Amino acid sequence: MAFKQVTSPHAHSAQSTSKVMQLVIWATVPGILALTWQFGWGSLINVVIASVTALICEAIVVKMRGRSVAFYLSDYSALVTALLLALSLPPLAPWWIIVVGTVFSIVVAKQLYGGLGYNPFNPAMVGYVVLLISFPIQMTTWVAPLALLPEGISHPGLVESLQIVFGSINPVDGVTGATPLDMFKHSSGLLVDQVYEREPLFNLAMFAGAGWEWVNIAFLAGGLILLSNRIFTWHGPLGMLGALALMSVIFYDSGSSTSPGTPMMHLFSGASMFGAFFILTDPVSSAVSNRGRLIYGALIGVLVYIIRAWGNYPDAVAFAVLIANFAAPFIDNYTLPRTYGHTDRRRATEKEEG
Amino acid sequence: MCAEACPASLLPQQLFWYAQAQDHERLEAHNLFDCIECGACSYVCPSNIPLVQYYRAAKGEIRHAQDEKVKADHARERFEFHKERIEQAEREKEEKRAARREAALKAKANPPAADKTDGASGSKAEAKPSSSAADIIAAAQARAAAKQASPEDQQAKLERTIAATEQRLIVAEEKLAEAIASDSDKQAVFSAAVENTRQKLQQSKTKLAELTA
Ligand code: SF4
Repeated sequence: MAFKQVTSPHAHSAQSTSKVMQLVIWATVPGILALTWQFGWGSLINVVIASVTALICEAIVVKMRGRSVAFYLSDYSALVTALLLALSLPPLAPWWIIVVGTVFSIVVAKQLYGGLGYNPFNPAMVGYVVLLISFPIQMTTWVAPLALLPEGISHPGLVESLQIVFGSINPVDGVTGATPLDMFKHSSGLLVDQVYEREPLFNLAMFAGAGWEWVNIAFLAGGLILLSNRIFTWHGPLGMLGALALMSVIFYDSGSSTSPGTPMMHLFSGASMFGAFFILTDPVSSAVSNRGRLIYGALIGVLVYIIRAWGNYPDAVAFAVLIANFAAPFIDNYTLPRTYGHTDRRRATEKEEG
Repeated sequence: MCAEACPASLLPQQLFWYAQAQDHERLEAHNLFDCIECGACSYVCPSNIPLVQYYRAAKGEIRHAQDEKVKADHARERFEFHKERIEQAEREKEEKRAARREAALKAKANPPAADKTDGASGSKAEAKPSSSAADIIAAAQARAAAKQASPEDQQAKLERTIAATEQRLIVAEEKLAEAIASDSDKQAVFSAAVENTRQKLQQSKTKLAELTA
């Protein structure tokens, strides 16, 4: 009688891709709530449009590739990509922006490369960068945070927001405004203290720009939930936030008029926390070893700061992440961990180098 | 997740990647052979990839490839040795051929007169001292042969003749010594024969010297 030979292990943990993805989705809830609280219904509408588009695209492509649609849709990865993209797009952006970005993320950046697990770049960030380069105006008009709305004006309600998104009406004046990073970029000639005094965006805030700090704190909380569930290790986020903090301390320039901003502002505005915990922790496109992730995170942190301070774009997480995605295989080659029982680390390319 | 689970601090994700690509060099650089096949990586894998199966298959492939390489190396060594030997033999033959060709060229460079003397003395060397008729026939044959024969052949023949004549000289001298010892009346005959052979040897040697000069 022949026994079927099965290799170890003979049991599996309950952790599956769909569980991991669900957890990620839950962890964005605080962030979504904070965005909705501070910026109105826009973000929620983004999320809904992007999710629907992503599921439809994923289903079509998977069908065309001759795979099981139900299986691939039930791993929730398309939903996570859509969610991450939707949260990084400005609220109340026109619907077609969201659709174009999502289609690009899912179809080009993910499925054309072979689907989940084979994409060299973070799909959500590819979508975001494509949009940012193609439609800069729509992509840089942010809604003003709650505290900054002019007297008597509130964020548009749900119905009104939908009308704005689908282009039938224009938002009321004063509903849109600059982000803290924009503000610093265009405030040359003023000392940091003056900027803080003059701009309500800063003097109505606790430490990093009204509204934005809440959003970042919420994403930080969500990230910590994921970290405590061991969805990723601390190396990537710490590398990025550490490098970003270090860079902004070094170049703070004691608040002179050319200073790119305070360290607190860099850590808690824009997409810093979102990027650190939800974007660069993507296990597919990041480096694989812990040391590699630390370097990968630090690289992103440095790049984010460089592009924010001296580049043309006010925020830079997407660009930095994509550049680091390029570098990830290279980092991997030189950061193999020391294998148990060995005295040295090895390099993956040692044979080719001769 | 798998990298955190691995007790040997390997990178199961990379190993899987390179195992699929059958990149043996990378696999060894990632210390695939330190994998203890515990299955921890596969246990935590959210995609339930049967990692250990891939690793075992890859290890088998690498071992197989190594065995094949040893075999191939051995075969190549043998083949190279064989080739070397054949070449050595070829070279020796070629050297001989070249030497002979050179000799021929030299012989051609000499005037035909030398050829004639060659033929004449060659006949004498071949000739048997006892019978004059046989002597004449043999001389004629030898002349014809010498004319046809190539210089190498001539030289070879001369060498053979010298060797044979030397042998005969030794035998004749022994016989002469015997005759002297037993005080035989054949002493004169034997001493003439010795003298004759000695002369012939001398002639052949000079001819050879001419030929090879
Ligand atoms: S099976 Fe090998 S690679 Fe996987 S955890 Fe065990 S030792 Fe590490």
